[in-house]
Amino acid sequence: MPTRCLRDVALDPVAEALERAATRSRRIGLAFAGDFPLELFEAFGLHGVCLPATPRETYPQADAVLQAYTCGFVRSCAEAVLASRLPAGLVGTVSGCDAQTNLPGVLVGAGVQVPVLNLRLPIRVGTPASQRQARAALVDFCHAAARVLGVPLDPMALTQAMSRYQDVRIRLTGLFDDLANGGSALRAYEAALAARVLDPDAWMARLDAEPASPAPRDGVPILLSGSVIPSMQAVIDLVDVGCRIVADDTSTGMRSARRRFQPDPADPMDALADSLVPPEPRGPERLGDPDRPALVAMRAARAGARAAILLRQKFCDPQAFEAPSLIAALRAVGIPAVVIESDRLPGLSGRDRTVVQTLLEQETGGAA
Amino acid sequence: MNPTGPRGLAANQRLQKTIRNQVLFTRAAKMLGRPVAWVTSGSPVEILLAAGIIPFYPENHAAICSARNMAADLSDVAEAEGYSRDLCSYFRIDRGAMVTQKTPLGRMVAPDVVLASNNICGTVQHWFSITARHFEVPFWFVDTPFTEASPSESDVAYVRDQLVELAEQAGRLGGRRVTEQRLSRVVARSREALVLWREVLATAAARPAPLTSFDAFVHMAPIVSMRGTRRAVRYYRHLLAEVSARRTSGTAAVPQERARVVWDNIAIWPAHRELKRAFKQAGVALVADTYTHAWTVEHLDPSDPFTSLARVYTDILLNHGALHRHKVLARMVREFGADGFILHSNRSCKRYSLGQLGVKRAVSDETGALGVVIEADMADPRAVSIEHLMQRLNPFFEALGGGT
Ligand code: SF4
Ligand code: SF4
Repeated sequence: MPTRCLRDVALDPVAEALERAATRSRRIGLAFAGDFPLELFEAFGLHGVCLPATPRETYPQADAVLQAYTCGFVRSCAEAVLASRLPAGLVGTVSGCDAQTNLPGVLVGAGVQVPVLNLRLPIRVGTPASQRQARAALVDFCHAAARVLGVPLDPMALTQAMSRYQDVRIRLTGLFDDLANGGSALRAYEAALAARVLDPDAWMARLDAEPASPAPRDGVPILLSGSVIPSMQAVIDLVDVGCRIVADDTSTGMRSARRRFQPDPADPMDALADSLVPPEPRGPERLGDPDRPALVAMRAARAGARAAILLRQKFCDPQAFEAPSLIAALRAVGIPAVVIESDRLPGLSGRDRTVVQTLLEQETGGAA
Repeated sequence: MNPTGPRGLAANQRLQKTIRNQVLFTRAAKMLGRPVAWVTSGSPVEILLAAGIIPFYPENHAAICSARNMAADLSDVAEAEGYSRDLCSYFRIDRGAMVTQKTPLGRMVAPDVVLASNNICGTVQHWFSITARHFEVPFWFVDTPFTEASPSESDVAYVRDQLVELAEQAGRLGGRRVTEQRLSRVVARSREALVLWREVLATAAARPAPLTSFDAFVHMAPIVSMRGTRRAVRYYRHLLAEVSARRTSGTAAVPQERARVVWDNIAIWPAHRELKRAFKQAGVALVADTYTHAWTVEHLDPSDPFTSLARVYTDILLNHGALHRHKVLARMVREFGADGFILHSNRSCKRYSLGQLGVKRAVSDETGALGVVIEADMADPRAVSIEHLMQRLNPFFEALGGGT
């Protein structure tokens, strides 16, 4: 069977995950949130997969158990589990926003057969107490996983997986950092999406083997922000309408890629915990000391962004709370922003295209 | 037996007076230099009280604004600032009041500090940090790990450490050191009020019920916003005496009580009166609810105040998932002899509402009681339609043997 290129994996992550499970006859450890450490699944002999959202109008199975005011991302996660599209051995969720926090109870209440375990990470980050609590949450998760899977955690597999996934994140950070210097956004996002379903070694091999498509030289430099990135198609559409993405603040992109621990840690659990609750909160669902909107705006300005697109999931509380201050912080550094909803279609709607085009035209005086 | 006897509680007037006094007290204390903290309903206020800090409850304030028909106008202000209408209406109302200084209380008392805990939802971590920035005051936050089961020992230790730190900060701001002794006195008062409140609510297990959740939704104000004070204890002693007397005399809150139901979620303030009337006309007594019962925890221990506060504030209803809430609701259906239950799917409150569709099925399967889901919002009148609510409730009442 021919291997899919990164772009194809990014366009259809479920197909890749299915194939991966079939060829290696291992069950999948399925997560959704960007801050779930897939390393844990590998330590129990599962294939770690963090399924990106699949934007759609309706989710038949999820809509039977979740109210309409649930964000599309969580509905999409619930649909993936309830429709049993993937041979999952374990589903891992993470406490965070209210929608995610409720997800495990909803799934178990709906009678799913596959075990669902919640990694109860602290909301407060960056303090010694939150580091201890994150460690305790990891240990609890592993005990519960060992119980439901009937296999003990393999410490060697954990350490190896940690180092392999960290290598992936370092490469991804490089791709996203390079956006400001003319790097290709299509390349960065396809790599980020593919990293969620591919084995780290396979991902590295494909990244090295495939030449990057050249980055467009023209286009208005923009910041792309959002709790999730909608899909590869939306990124393709943004580039198509004239966006040159030079800075990223999406969950699938830099927010996840920036997670780090010291190499060769004496205690892997300590190191994982450290990486999960750094002082700077990676997204608005956690609470830390630095002012996230100001930091994001500063990074965007430094990367040369002249406009910002905030991809919104309808009913996403953390993002809706942060949006006014993020828009104000961006405006304060001279970057106008628009909010577009990204949860119903794989790509941009006609209306969204017009909104983005208008923003770009404002920035180019009509030359975009 | 007096099935059609006096309907309204005499304590209603006392409640108004108690709330008025609390508002005046807060204002006077602030003028005399006592610091004021804006706090969430699930904040460990005992620590603030022990430090001499006066708590003020924006959630209560938002509910009062809603009851006084100010919700839509105040929400509009927040929405004009860019806050989505999909966010919690208590936040939007309070944000509007903060910006415009419009309040049914006459005047807002500005905070010296803001304290939130995520044991009720994730909304408050954003809402209260926005408030702290608005007033340029410190933001204190108690992170309480969410759990489906009981909190683990590491959860309790994590929260306890934060409470000890909070006590130090509060002591510095309030000018009164929070010693264990001082704290245990406040905790004892909280516990007494909680026990009295639980006994008040338990009277509704009698047939006919001497009070309903429509009364409880209103009379919960002191347990939310005055627990830890003598005022709350006095108030609930009085209320308990009244409802106990009604129980003994067989006084019915709903004349000709034909069916009994339990409620899940916050009240629907914009429709409170209409719903109360409709239930009464249908002969359906709303005998218990998960919302007011959330303030009936028992295990506060004055002899170990920090640890027991940590446990209690981590173990509250909304810090648990749907599986726990299903158990609580099923227990209530049994204990209060309910024939049915109503799940208010509250679009403002995702923490409380998501998972209710599964809870409905599970509680019905377990208890045999009939359940119904109604869509509304606790405070935003634009998301509440009486006609729509009654279209759902009338057939439900009829199926239970109630109805007009
Ligand atoms: S952070 Fe937003 S998009 Fe993500 S799960 Fe929560 S509500 Fe949904
Ligand atoms: S109504 Fe719900 S979301 Fe709003 S503050 Fe209360 S618990 Fe939080």
